[in-house]
Amino acid sequence: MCTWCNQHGDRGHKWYETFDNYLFKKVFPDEAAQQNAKQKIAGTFASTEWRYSDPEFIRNQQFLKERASSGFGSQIITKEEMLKVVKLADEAVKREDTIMVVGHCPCRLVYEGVRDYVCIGFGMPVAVSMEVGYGRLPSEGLTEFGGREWKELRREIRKGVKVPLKYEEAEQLIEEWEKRGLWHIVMSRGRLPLIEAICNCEKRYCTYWMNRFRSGVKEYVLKGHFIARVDPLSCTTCGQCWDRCQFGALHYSATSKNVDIDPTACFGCGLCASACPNQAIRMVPREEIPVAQNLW
Amino acid sequence: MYQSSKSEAIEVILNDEASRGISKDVQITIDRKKCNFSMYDPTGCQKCLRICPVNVFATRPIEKRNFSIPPKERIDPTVWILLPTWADWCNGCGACVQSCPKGAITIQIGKKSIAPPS
Repeated sequence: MCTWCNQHGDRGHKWYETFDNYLFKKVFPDEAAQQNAKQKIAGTFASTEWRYSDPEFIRNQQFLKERASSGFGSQIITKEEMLKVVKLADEAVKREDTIMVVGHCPCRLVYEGVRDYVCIGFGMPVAVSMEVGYGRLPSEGLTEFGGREWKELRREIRKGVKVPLKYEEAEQLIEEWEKRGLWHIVMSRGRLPLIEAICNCEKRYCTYWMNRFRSGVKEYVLKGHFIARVDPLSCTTCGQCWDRCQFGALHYSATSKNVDIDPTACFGCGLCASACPNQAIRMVPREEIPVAQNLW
Repeated sequence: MYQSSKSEAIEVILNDEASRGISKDVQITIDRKKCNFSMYDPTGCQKCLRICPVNVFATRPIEKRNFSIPPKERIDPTVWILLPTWADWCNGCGACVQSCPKGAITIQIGKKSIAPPS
C-alpha cells in the first residue's frame, strides 16, 4: 500500500477506492472548514495554477515541497481502475448535487499552447471554481481570440458550457484517451483525501511528471499499484507495445528477440497491456514483485 | 508596452531573469521585439513550443507589475508570454532557432552559440 493509502485508505482499501474520499462533506465535516476550503479553491487557480510554467514556481524545489505537503497528491492508475474511479465519482456527484465535467489540460495549454479537453473534474471544486473552459467547448463556431470579443466569449463559456458529463460518455472518452496513449492519473489538488480530478496526459507536457523528474519532488505523482509483466511464451514481439511506454521501462532486445519490462521503472499505467493483441502483458499487483514492492 | 500583433500587447521587461533562462551554462534568449508568439491570435506562431523535443519553452499569462492591484487580479489571461523555462535541459539541436520565422531565438551553450543567419 502506498503512502496515500496508509493515510487515507479505508481498512486495506486503496485511497481512490474509498467512497468517503469523494464526498466534500465527509472530508470537511464542519461548516467553517467547508467555507475555508471553498475560498481556497476559488483562490488557487488565480494565484498559482496559471504559473505552472513560471521558472520561479516550477523550479523552486523548496516551494514545490511545501506545496506538495499541503495536500497535493496524485497516482497513476490503470484504465480499469480509472473506470471504477469515475463510477464512484458519478455516485458522489449525484449524492452531493454537483457536476462532473471535461476540462482542458492546463499543462498542455502552458507547454504547447493547445487546449486539449482530456481532464475530468468533479465534485464541489468544479462547482465552486471559475476555471476557464471547465466544461465541454462546442466544437464548431468558437474561436479563441484576444480583446473584447474574447472576454465576452469567456463570460459565455463560464455561464453556459459547464455541461455535466454522464458516466457513459466518460467511459467512451476514457477509451479514446487510452487509444491515444495517454496515461491516467487520479489526483487531489491541495485537499488531499478529497479526490477531485482525473488527468490523462503524456510525459511531454505533464507538469506533475516534471515536478517529479526534473525538480525531484516525488510526492506529486506516485507510481501505481500494478506492474506490467511480460509472458515471454505468448509474446510474439509484434511491436505494438514498443512506443507505448513513456517511462523507459519497456525494452526490446534485437539480438535475443524478446521484450522485457523493468519493474523498478514501471509506473503501472497499463498502456502496454492494453496495446498487446495476445494478452502477453499482464498487470500484476506490486506486492507480488519483491524488487519493486516498496518503490512508489 | 508595444503592439506585437493585432490583438495582443506584450509587456517588455528588460533584463528579466526569466527571459534569459536560469542556468549559467545555457542561455536561451528570446528577442521579445521580434517574437510573434500569440496564444489566441491564429496569425501568431507557436513553432518553437511544438518543435522542441525536451519542452524547453513554456508560456504563461503576464502579471501586471502594478502592486496596488490585489494579487489575484494581477494576472491578465488575455496576454501570454513565452519563456525558456527549462533552458538547462536544452540538448542543443537548434531546431527552434531554425524553425523560428522571425529569427528571435539564440542559444548559447558554454562557448558554442547557435544563432539564426543574419
